Amino acid sequence: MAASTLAQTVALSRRSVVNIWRQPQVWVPSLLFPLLFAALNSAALGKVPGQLADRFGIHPFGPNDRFVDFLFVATLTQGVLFGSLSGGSELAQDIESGFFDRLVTTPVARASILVGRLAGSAALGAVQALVFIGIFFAFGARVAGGAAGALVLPVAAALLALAIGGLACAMAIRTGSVEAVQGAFPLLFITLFVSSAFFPTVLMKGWYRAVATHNPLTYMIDGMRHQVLYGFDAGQAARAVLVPGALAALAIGLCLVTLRSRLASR
Amino acid sequence: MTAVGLERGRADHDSLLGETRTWPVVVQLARRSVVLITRLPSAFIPSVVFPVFLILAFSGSFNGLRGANAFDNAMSWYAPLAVIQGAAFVGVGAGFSANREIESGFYDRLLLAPAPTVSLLLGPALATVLRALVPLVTVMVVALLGGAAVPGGALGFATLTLAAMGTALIHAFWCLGLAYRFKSQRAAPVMQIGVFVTNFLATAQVPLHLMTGWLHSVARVNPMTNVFRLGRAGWVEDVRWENCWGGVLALAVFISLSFWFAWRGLKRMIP
Amino acid sequence: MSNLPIEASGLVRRFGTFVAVDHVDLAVEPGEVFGFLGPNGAGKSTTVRMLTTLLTPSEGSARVAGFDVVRDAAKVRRAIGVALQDAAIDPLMTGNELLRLQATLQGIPRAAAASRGAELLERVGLTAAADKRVKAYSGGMRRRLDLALALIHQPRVLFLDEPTTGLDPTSRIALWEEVRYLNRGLGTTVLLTTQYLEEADQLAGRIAIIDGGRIVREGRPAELKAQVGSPTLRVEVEANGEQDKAAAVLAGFGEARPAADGVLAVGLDGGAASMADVVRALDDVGITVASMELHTPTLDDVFADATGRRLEGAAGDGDGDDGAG
Repeated sequence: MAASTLAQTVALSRRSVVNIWRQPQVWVPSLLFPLLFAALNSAALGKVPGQLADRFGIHPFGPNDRFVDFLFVATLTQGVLFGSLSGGSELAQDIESGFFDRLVTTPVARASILVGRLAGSAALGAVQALVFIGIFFAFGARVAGGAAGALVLPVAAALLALAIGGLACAMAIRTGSVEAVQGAFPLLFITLFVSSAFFPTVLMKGWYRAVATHNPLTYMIDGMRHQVLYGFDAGQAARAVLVPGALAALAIGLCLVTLRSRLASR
Repeated sequence: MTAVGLERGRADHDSLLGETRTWPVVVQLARRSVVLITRLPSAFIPSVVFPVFLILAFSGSFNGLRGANAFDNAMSWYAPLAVIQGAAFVGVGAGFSANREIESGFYDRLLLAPAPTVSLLLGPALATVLRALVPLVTVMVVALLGGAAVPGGALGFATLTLAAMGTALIHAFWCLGLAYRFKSQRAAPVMQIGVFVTNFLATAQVPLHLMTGWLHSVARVNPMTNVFRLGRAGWVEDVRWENCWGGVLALAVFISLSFWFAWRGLKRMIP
Repeated sequence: MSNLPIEASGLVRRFGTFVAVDHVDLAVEPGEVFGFLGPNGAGKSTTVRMLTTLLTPSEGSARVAGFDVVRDAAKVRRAIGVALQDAAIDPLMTGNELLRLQATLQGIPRAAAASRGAELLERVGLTAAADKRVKAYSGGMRRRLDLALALIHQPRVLFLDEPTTGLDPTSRIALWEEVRYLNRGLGTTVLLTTQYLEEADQLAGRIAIIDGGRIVREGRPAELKAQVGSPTLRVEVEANGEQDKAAAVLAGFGEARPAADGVLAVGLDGGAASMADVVRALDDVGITVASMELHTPTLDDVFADATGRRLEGAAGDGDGDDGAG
């Protein structure tokens, strides 16, 4: 039984990965838009770290005062956030088309259905991380933490993808509507903006700073960013991995509960 | 159905037909569009919520740019961006409604009427200006509550309103022109991207002197940089003519060009 | 040029290489209901869009209400009323608002528009629903509102593009009544397109059958049916062995026609009137008839005769089992 559950999960995962791969309109924007945004921001704000260092002697963008290094993790996070919504919209599509009901009526384990669906998101997240590392390297960004530090990034990205994908799936199961899942897009955007992603929280003020400082994304981003800007640090790496990991566990739990109540309610 | 009324003779027929003049049609079309705010709020609410988010997010995130000599007051710097961006999206909304109406066939009704063709452009234009007032006022209130200073006073509000309304009209005509050519909702992303590209490749985020490389080259010649300078004229210092004329000129030129673009598209739709 | 309400000569419309309308000639007389009958995609709507100035012809010319549809498009628009396919009505507006908008678009003064609008709403039975949003209207109500909108300026020529597609039978008959009244009571010239044989038969004084962009038949429905030929009589005899004998008798009344197994069919040269003679002749030779059925040509037969195909959705009207001869 365990063997067959694994086989089923793998089969469903493969379907989900292939599905995403065959829809370039899903993954191309999640690669392209963060990069465009990064190009824009690095040209608009590139001088800022130097000016702050010169005028006030502070280095909120890292010891090298390089905005592109700072931006790296923001771009990565942005791509993963938006790309992993697709897992949820795909599931909602399955629900709308009736494919989901067909799966549920087979003896496939419920968890396999969900994990299978989310695997595509997680894989996309990890691949995105690797692609972004390559591109940022080409544009002169460096990971101070070396190979160990660099490894933290795709792992965190995959976990974040799982978390966001899980939340999107829970929404999909609850609403069964592609539109509702895609309607969460602005919420993600707001969550990302009110974090340390694009600007250091130490330079913010008031309530905005308070919210951004306590945003779980900030914990994760700062942990990842530490590997890039300062060097490998186990504690920071744990933050980078555990925060999205915990979110992912929560999201998948929420998914299972939602699924159970959906199945019970009919 | 009962056979009451209508038994008018043919002679009566022409008495019903006055001259179809432009203005009443423009007013009717604009009124309809304003009424639709309450009927289809999902299409309008984002155009208010988004600019409010924009001003909060940018002034919150980039408050630290004061230290980099970008501006003195983040709210004052970003309020004009949010106002202009919000107005631009109201303009895009005119294109969205045209998309919707062309797809549903409702636009045929307008095209079939003997009303002057120009009213089909001026109606949405008037509606855009009226609808753009909502995000404009909302963002200004949020900005003032958030601590924005307006050294230019009343004139500062006026120049920002001018910049916002002008931008709204440019995007309205441009998007109507796109709608007339695409004739489907597939045009929507193209319309939206237009706003981001024109604004963010100008001085939307930071002043020219902070920009580097390609962005600096593009923003320096982007007419929207002039429009932002006009909009911010009274929000960063006293309104001075040298900060205004470039924006006024850019608006005049691009309103004319986009109007022409829409007019050509409309003319292609009706023989 | 004559002064017919609608006339077209050599009208062509191409979309790329596809020819949607291929040299259509039309001459609609004043006070006529002219039916434009054809399957989906035959070119009906494209023709109507050219006649109503929504589309420029690729070739040919057309005059509506005495004005050229290209050169005098504005004058044409003033003279015509149009109810387009799918009742192009904004679902977010109320019936009253749409009437007011339409009146403004037609240049009707405000006071006249109000009384005229109220009159029309009552006429089409929508007074109670006038301030409800169109979204809440049924399909029939939308069509009626669409018709009212088309009539607000008392057009001399009315175009109805598939006015009853998707309506239930009751709403359809109500709309037919209305069209008859407009035509007979007010003398409005009506051009209506339809894919329903019955609708064309019921309403139109003259019809044109269009297929593949070409007009393949034109005339009064009765004439067209008569042109297809004599009615078909189908006979089923009780005893199997008597088939040949019966066939010999029937041969005396006209040519045999294809029919299903066990059924004999003959085209009655003498028309429906000779049916009694057939019964007598069969009786005389002692053949017991199990069933007998007379089938007079329908517009579907006219269509089949002209195109070799049955009109879509009209399978029930014709008879599938003898295979369109």
